[in-house]
Amino acid sequence: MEQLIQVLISGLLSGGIYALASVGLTLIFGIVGLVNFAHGDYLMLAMYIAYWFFSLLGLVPYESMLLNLVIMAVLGYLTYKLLMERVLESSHSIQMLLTLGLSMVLQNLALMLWRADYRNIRVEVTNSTIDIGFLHLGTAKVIGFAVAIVASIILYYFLQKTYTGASMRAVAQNGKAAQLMGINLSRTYCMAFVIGTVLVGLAGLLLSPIYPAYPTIGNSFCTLCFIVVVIGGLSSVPGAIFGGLLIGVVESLAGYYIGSAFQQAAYFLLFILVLVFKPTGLFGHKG
Amino acid sequence: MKKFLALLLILALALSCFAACGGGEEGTVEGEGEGEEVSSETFKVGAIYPLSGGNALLGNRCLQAVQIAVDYINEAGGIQGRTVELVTADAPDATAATTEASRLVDNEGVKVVFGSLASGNALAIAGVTDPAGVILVESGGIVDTLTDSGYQYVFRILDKGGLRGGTGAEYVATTVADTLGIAAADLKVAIVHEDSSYGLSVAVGAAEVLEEYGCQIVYESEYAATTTDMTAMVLGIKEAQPDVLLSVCYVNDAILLVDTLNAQQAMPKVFMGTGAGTTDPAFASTVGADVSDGMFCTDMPTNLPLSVFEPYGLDGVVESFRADWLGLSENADLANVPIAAEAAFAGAYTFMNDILSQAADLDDPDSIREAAISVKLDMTTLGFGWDIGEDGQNYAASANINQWQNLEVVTVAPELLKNGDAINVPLPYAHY
Amino acid sequence: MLKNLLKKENSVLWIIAFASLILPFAIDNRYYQDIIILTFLWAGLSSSWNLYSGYCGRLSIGHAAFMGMGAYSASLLSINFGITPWVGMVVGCIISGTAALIIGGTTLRLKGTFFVLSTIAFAEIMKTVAITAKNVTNGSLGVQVPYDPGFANLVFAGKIPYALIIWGYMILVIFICTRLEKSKLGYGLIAVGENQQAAENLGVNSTKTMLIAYVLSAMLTSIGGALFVQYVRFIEPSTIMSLAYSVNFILYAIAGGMGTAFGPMLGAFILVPATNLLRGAITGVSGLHQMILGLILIGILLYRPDGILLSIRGAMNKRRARAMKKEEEGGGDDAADGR
Repeated sequence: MEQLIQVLISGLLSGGIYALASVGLTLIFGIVGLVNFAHGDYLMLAMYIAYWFFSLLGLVPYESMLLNLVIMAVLGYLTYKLLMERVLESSHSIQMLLTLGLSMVLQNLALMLWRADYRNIRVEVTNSTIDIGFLHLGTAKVIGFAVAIVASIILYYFLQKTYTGASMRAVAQNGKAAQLMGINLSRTYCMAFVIGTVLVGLAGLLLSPIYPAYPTIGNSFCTLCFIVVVIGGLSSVPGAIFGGLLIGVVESLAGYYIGSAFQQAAYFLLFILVLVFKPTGLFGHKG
Repeated sequence: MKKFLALLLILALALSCFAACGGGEEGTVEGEGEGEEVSSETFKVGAIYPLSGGNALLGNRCLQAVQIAVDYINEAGGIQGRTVELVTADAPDATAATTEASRLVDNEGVKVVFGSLASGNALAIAGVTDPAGVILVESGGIVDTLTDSGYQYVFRILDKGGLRGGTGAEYVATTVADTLGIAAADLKVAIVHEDSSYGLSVAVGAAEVLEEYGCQIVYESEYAATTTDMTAMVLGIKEAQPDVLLSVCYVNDAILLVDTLNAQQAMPKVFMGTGAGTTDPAFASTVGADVSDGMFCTDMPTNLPLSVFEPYGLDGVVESFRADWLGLSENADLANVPIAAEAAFAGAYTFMNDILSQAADLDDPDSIREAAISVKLDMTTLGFGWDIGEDGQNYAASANINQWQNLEVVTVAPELLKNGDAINVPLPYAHY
Repeated sequence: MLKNLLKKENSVLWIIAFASLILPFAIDNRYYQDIIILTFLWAGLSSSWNLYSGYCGRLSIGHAAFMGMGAYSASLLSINFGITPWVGMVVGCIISGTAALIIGGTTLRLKGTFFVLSTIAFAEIMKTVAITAKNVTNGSLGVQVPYDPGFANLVFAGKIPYALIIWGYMILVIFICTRLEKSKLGYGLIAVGENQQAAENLGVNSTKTMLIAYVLSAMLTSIGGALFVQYVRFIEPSTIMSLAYSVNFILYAIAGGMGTAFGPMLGAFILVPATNLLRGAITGVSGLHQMILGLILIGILLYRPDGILLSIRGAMNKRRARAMKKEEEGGGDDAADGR
């Protein structure tokens, strides 16, 4: 029983990071409608930025958070303006391949600029744990989980309560109709893309004290984020959070009870099952 | 219509030109590869390593080491008076490895290829080089089948994966069990390994030996080296309560494994790493001396004191290699040369300096093979000798039991090479 | 068939397809021959992918799984049971066809991106199966095809036999695609791709149409997989079943022109040599060759999103329209676009 609880909790903690990274994709995929296969690479970039702030200026990732996110916002803006805006009208296949091309460029640019070395950030939180009875929770993971949940809640209220947020939701439901209602489509898309990039950047920097940065780290996260988003029902923020946590737990349970080799296969299987039995995702609306 | 036809024809022509031009360009870049007169003076060797993709870190390190070896040989007057020319190739995956091997063999005309770090790449390269009569000197690929497949021109300087795992397991079942005061039959061992051919082949070898000694394998699991979370696996280990954890990891996952073991308070009495990950200086420096002191790593001999090489007159080479490699700007922050680079250097240097120099005809692979098998060396720059069998395996290759002590790799077994005694058995901070 | 061949544009493309066979004979260098063979192979594989995804406009990013099934069937049956890979190839076809039937039956009805992601999931699951089913597949140690040249073993010392067989495979797949374009199945498939509801209203059984094409596509892909393993003589699951391989199928098809019989071939003819030659030419800076490839890809997609074939066709049509306009006043310019 103790083991089961520990497995569940550690799954939830990893799930928090997955959720945060995926919430970003929810905006990009659900609102802008872009299938962004370079999403994971922005996580990689944020980890590198955190690393350089740490090694050059001695800033712990949490201290450099604001600067890091500003840089991510600029990167997101540039990506949107230079690339994404041009393919908004194109088919999904074109978008997908464009982002795959972008992913190749970013990964190899990182390799050329910073080499393939693993860039570790070892700070106090890296190895400390919060112990509650028999539970041992990594401090960095707990912080990551907490920040992820807070950020998601802020995002949720932003989408629900502000005009920009409302326009994003409107665009997600029907872009053409929203435009007719006087919503500036291009601005809304841009905004959603930038926020999405910032959120995945946040996930990256929260991960950076416990996991090294290297050029291909994004690959591990990219498909995972898509799966979370689809399970969550595309443009639903609570859905993405639930999806992230669910994937974290499934991964953890499968790793413990079946074997680590099946961690990924387990959530892929879950994903196919969800698609087959509830194609709109667990939190999705019809249509 | 005519214009359309013409356009497509031009396209087709451009394509074939592209293919042809590629060769022309290369010739100039790599130094007039096609001229026959040139090749009688220079001797072309190739190096295939993963320089991009997931294994890029170790691949680039190996390539630097091979480059240094080539420089040394040329400074000393080349091989039989011929200057060595190194042609490099990037093989991020096995299929790329075959194509690149073909480029080196058929286009560049190399006679010897050094490689290849990843076991999968080694098998793929051997499939191209061997039928073509080109030598592959393997100093990284550990998978047993490489020398069990009947290749004529594949020589592996390092130990087989099975032997590596077996050596670590034997030490665990004998010395470690004795020190812990547990009979081999009562010793509980957990095995975890990364899921590529490297991890699998070492783990299989370890499991066989453990079974021979009658040890109890209480937990066994494989994982993807790119995993970002090992908590579930570590909880499995914790529940099994092994005395010894035997692991086969790359660097990154080794660090994650140790971190997670500590976070979950699941560190067993003895941690035995078998392979490059746990022997890498980055591993110990990242987890810190408090944690790494007392952790074992079974691997090729590494970071041996120069006195080991002195009787054989190799201390000078080893010393200058270490200085030159660590002097490269990319490696400035490393404490000592990682094992992968040491092995790559040893493979390239020994083969050029001791084998090729003895070959009757440098352009005849059979004569090189004869030299490789007939020449016996008591010592190479790697810490063991050179004794190639008919199958191309170096039977002098041994795996050492090393241990981390104050961020230094100390050899604790075998007796012949040892330069320190094992400490911290069991680990002082072991959780059960 | 002959009538089809003589039809203007297709005939030019057929000429290119057939003329390409000269290359391995004309270039007497095993490295370039190797690239040419890989080009033929990927042209065939990408065309197989095109058969379903291209015409129907629904991307499968999991075809590496079918390729792997073909490769494993052919190599394992011959190594373990001495069954010739020619038979193993057929067995692989049956296995991957059945797999496609099962997986297609459940996922083909999914819409757009959902289907795309389900194919990724399918391939990843198959990869895990290949890695963990060690008793059957040898796990991550991979499969080595012994070097024992002979027609029955489908292993040859020289490159020419491979070139001929693999070129034949490419031609076969392209031929099937051209036939498909003119068949009821093909019309149905394109109609379903454009508008499923409308197609159904016109009496197309969309599920059946898609399923037949998907199964056919999977089977042809697995033949390519079998040829791949017999040619490269080594496979490991982490490579042959990887996402990167699945992406290759799409890359070549989109670069050349998705949903056209010759598009994937043109795409492969340009990108496969480009990939390999770049990697060979630039070894000094790690990663540079792949970055350039990424930039080329981005360039194609931004400036020639319809693929090379349709761009050329578009340009030709425009020119023709202009010529017609000159001849007689008042011709429409609008004919420029469209398939």
